Amino acid sequence: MQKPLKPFYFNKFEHRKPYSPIEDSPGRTLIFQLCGIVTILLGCAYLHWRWLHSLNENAIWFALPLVVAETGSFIGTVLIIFNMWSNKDPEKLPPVHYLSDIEPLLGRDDRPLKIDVHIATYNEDVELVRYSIRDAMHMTYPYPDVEIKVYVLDDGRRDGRDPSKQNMKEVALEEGANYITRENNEGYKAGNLKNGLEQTSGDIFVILDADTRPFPQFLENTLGYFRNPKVAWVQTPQWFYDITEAIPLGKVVVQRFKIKNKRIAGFLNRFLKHIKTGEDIFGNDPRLFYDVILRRRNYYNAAFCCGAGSVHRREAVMQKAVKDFVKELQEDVTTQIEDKHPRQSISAQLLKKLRILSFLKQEIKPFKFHASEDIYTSMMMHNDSEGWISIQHAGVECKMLSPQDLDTCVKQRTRYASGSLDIAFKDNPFAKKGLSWGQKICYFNTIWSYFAPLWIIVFLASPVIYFFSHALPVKAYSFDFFKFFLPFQIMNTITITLGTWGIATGRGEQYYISGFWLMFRSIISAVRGEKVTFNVTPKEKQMLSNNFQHIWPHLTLIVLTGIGIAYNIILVILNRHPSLSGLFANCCWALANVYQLSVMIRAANWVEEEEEITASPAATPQFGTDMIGEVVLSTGT
Amino acid sequence: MEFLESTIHLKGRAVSYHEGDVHFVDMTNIQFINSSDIAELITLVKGSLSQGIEVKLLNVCDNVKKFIEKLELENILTCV
Repeated sequence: MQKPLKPFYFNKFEHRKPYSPIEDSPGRTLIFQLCGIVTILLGCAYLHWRWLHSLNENAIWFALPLVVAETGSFIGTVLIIFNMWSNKDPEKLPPVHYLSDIEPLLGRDDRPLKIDVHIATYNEDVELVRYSIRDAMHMTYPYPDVEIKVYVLDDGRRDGRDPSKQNMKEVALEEGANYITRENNEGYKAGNLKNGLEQTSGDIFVILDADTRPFPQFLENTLGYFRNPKVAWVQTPQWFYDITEAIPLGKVVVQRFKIKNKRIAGFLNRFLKHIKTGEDIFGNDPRLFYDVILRRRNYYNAAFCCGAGSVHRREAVMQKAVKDFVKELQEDVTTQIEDKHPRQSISAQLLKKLRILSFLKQEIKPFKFHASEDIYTSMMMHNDSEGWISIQHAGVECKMLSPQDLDTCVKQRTRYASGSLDIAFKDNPFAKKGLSWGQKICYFNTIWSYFAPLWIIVFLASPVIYFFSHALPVKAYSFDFFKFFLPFQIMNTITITLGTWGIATGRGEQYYISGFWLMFRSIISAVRGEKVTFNVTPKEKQMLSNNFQHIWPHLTLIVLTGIGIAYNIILVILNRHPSLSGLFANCCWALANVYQLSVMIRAANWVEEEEEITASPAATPQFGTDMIGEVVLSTGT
Repeated sequence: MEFLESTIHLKGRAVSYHEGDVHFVDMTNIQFINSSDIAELITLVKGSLSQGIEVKLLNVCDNVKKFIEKLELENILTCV
């Protein structure tokens, strides 16, 4: 009999079903491409006018940064259009059965495949990991002779040696999985996976995080791609099934202001019931990324691995690891010779000694020991002369938990940003000879997007600067300005809407702007060359978060905007304002900025309603395990 | 303990014996080798070298030799 599962906050979301991938439409793609070309042409015309005809020489200190920022932003637009240019979902093939289905036998006897499922964990609640293990154990496969083994890779050494820690090993064994641990945490998750690979032998392996719960058909739906012997990995979308729900505004107001009067509360609930707020308040929903950005990269063979929910060909990973080992060894020997014995002829004996010393130092790393090991390893695999193919699978095959508070979100995104920027500074994709131009541009697009705060800060500060200085970055907000600006902006909006058809992008756009501060700090860290650390994302809400550190720049900008608008209105009343058109344009701009910034302030103060959860059939995990009676979950602060 | 006892991929496929400061790994029965096997061999060689013991591969077939050369490992995995 299976052990009952411990209740968690996410039980109330068990009934949620994943989205269906966007249907591919050649017609829509063609219209998108036409609009994309028009947008780029209009953007070029606008920037040509901005650089050559619009700069206000009297306020060049203001005009120049703004036009540079606009240019940087436009490059980002061009890169996004390139990224989304076309879709090429790979053909779905029946699941593989024998070794000969995935690679040439070259004289070996054929045999059924061996598949390993690796669940990486560090310090997560072992009862939470139990959900993932149990779902992994319930994955189905049409061929019973294909051996499927589940391994819990525990970097927390929770094997019962330390009584103060939960016992991960016991849970793994109770669920019928295998348990692997190691004595250090070298290389963090990448090192943990390396250790797992060293002790297992599956031809294909799946990577799951502690909170990744695969659906029963996960393997059936993804392993067919490996019939192509060049396919190195398949990434499935990471679907966060616990993102915050939209709540009627009336309910929020009543709860927030603790309105006890039933008549007032009833009126507010009725009056404001159609206005909803708080949906995905932390901007966690990654659908745009997986269903559009990464999926469209199949067209360029540039979809990168994101870790959890991915499936890998062991031979591809290990071959690249061995090649890198040899390359690093040769580089290290060369460096030693150049550093320690410049302009000297090296004796064969000394060379052998240097080689041995270097050899003992190097390590085979299937995954790069890096905070962004997934994207980094992917880039190196794409760069390999073997011509490995990556696949972004369209359908959702597993579900995961999202960060439940702003502080955790910020830390996770800071790690992504810092990791990607670190790659940019150390291993620029344009310098990689093995990458195609499509791949180079796609990787560059990812990196470029992390430089966005450099121009977002200028865009956020510009109206505030105007309110207090009345300096105009353009000669005038005249017909000429709008003649160039509006067509470009309108076409840009239409193009992006077509490219992301069927997906709500509003929250993502808000976080793109309001995440400027965390990304800006990441740029500073990368420029300073600070070491990027790997932080494990907590899987539950953190109660002791200091959110003010993340939103003080937002509050400052909003307060300054408010003061600035009030000051300018006074000037208008006193008939002393220099430019009403300038004021109008900047007010519109500033209010749009405030709207975008406000999301993080709301997220920082987000208090989820307390509710009583009964373990109903809807809240019971799909594999029908026992829940422990009625529980009261409170995720509020 | 047998030299290959701790291995996952090579155990049962290759045999080894010790002579002086050298571990010999007889590869007669190995007609095919993949990157996981190679990685395991490298780990074995590293472990031995750190104790001052060399590792040499015996009776390596052409297929395996070619793969070792393709990965530019001739200086690391010594075939005799």
